Amino acid sequence: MNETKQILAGIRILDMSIMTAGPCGTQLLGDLGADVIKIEQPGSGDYSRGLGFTKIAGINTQFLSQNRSKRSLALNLNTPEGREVFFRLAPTADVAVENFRPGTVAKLGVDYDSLKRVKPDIIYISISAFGQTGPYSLLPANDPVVQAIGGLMSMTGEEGGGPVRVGNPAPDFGTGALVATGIMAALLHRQRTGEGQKLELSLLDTTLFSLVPMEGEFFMTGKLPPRMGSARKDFAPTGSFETAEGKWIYLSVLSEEPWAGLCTALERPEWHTDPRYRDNAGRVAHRAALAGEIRACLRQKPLAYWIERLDGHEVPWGPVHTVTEALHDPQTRHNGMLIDMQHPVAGKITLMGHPVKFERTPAQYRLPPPGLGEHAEGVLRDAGYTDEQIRTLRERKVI
Amino acid sequence: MNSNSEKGPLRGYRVLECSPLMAGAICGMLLADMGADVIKLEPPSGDPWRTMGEARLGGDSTFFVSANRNKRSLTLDLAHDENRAAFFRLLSSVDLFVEGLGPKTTRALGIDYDACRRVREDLVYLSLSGYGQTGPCAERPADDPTIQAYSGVMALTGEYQGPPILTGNPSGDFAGAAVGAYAACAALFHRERSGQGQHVDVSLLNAMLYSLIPREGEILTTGQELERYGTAHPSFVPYAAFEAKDGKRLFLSCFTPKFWSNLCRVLELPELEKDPRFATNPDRVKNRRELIPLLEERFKQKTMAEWLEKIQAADVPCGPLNDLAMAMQDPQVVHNRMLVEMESPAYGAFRTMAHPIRFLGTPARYELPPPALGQHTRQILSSAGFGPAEIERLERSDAI
Repeated sequence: MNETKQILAGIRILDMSIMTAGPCGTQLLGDLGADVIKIEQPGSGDYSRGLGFTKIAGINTQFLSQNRSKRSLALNLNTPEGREVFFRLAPTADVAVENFRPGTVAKLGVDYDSLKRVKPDIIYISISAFGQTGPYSLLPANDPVVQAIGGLMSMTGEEGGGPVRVGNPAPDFGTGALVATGIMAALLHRQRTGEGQKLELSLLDTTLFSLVPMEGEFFMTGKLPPRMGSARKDFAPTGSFETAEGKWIYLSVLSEEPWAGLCTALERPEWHTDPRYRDNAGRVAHRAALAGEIRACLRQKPLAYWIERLDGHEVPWGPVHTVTEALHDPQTRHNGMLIDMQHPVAGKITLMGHPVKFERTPAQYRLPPPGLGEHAEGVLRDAGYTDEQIRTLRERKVI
Repeated sequence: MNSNSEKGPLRGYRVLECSPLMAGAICGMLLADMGADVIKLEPPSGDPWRTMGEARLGGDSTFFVSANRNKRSLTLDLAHDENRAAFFRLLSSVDLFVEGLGPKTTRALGIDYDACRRVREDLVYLSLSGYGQTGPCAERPADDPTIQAYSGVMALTGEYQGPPILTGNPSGDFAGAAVGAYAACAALFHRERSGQGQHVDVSLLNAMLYSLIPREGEILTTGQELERYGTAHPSFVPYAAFEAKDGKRLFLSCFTPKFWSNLCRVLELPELEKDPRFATNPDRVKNRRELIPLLEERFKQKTMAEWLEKIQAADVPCGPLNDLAMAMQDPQVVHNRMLVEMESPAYGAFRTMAHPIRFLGTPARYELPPPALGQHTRQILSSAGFGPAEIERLERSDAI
């Protein structure tokens, strides 16, 4: 067998997307060996270079988080010379990604139809907040606005309290993961048929799909999913419970085997024989009483004690970690989810690893997040530009 | 080619899905929507999600209905050694195996990756689990909420000074499913180009950790956890939900100076923009307790729709805070056709959420309603080469 190459060796992606959703998705593909060329506005670059409050050596961590495994080309698509460079690169690309406001790529002349003319089997991905068309398509938005419109925020919150924002950028992440899915599926299709195509993704559609399977009951009965803090409406006991030193533990009992396991682990055989708690329906009906008993029990000892008691029983449970605890957790480390890279300006930086373990073709971390336009020379020389032409483009601020 | 697989970029691929983990079912549905022939392998007692939760449609839980369209169902009792031969025979006609059984169970059943690759060398074997196939927690039971807790996502969500809470949706299952679908397609692409199959390990934990991006960078750099603020943001103000005169809420986010000045203009509160306490975002973060009540009072003076129109016209990111009923009637959601009507003999007419990726060349399909338990067992076995006598024998021994 020949030497195993990375999954996306030889695949080139022209990535015009900025902020989080697109870059999170293309970063995954860069880790698999795709040549991701990040096309940025000269001068300012990706907005995320200038956003946020935490910097390392002047570089925003938000940008560092989502842009490794890419090369940067600053290119002014608003100028004819910039577009000319873009169209010299286009025939060498397999995929193009953009998340301008709908309509912008057509104005710039870098839309799907224009690319298809020079590269008939191109795979072209347009990402937007709400969709390429429709009443909100031209409105500005960011992640939580989509959480609000898509119903996610209304489903999140304390019982009897108001809606709560999901604290991580869930719609951005979900869209990024589905951008990677869509690109891979379209590459498979092209590999087998020779056909390219256009794909559209929106944060709104992603957010709605991410409700599955919680929307099903509403579709059937019209009943809205209630806000229940850390519990799940259909199952008991579910929720976080405080331990003696104020740390929280999550318990998720969805059926009878874990219920028996929990009663044994907590040494409360009387719960298991209590007729009120004989099945999930009974436990849901007496949810408050049961939660009260568990709360009183868990408060008596520290988290470590309960971990030892619960481990080995068929009960889904977990400590409620802070982000720092989660990042430094032994399983997180074991999974390779925290990686260190050397950055020419920021020095050693710590980034989130690739979430998939491909046993034969593992993700590789070759390139740290690029400086703005850092790879212009290499990219343009590959495309046949002479040093002098490159100098002229630079003087004219095209690159 | 099977006529059910004409549409979608994955047509012609056959997938065997066996997953008590909801993430596996959702992952299977994403692949099935894209045209893969997904066979749902269930124990003769049925996938546990068929009977979980309160709401039922034609005898099945709405959880099951929601996550299993476009699949065929086959029952096979993997707990009995004598049925393993039948399993391997099925597996040899499959491109991708999606399992969410956990490493302990696949080993105990004798269907772990090493056993399966002996039957089909180029098999793509996708394992979905809570924590991963190896490591200190690999054998611990897990599900969506426990991983929300473990991954730190929960710690970011909650009321101001309240405890961490769950995201209202099963965000861990979704994350595992979406990352799983990506990984499955990537591994198939590799097989298409190299002929090599492989074992692919996707955990809800890894997917949820990746979904923290870019929060992890901020927290690692400052060493400070982010406070929970309800709908609001620890470091941008105003960036929150507000209640209007009619009791409806909207959400808006001002994360640039322009958004703030535009907001002051449409709220007709020019004095706020000039107020030194609120001049810059850091000022507003520092003085949020003084600013927010002023805004809350102002929002009470018009209806949500009136405010929305003004604020959106001023190009400030803003939207209605919809409950699920409002969301599904929202003009943009309706425009995006995110509600799909399907029909089945068991359920009658019913609705599901549309596939989230729009492939303009090879659109997602909505052809098969969620299958009845074992509905396609005979059909699948005979196309895998099982003769009528063999199928009967399996039936008599309660294997299927």
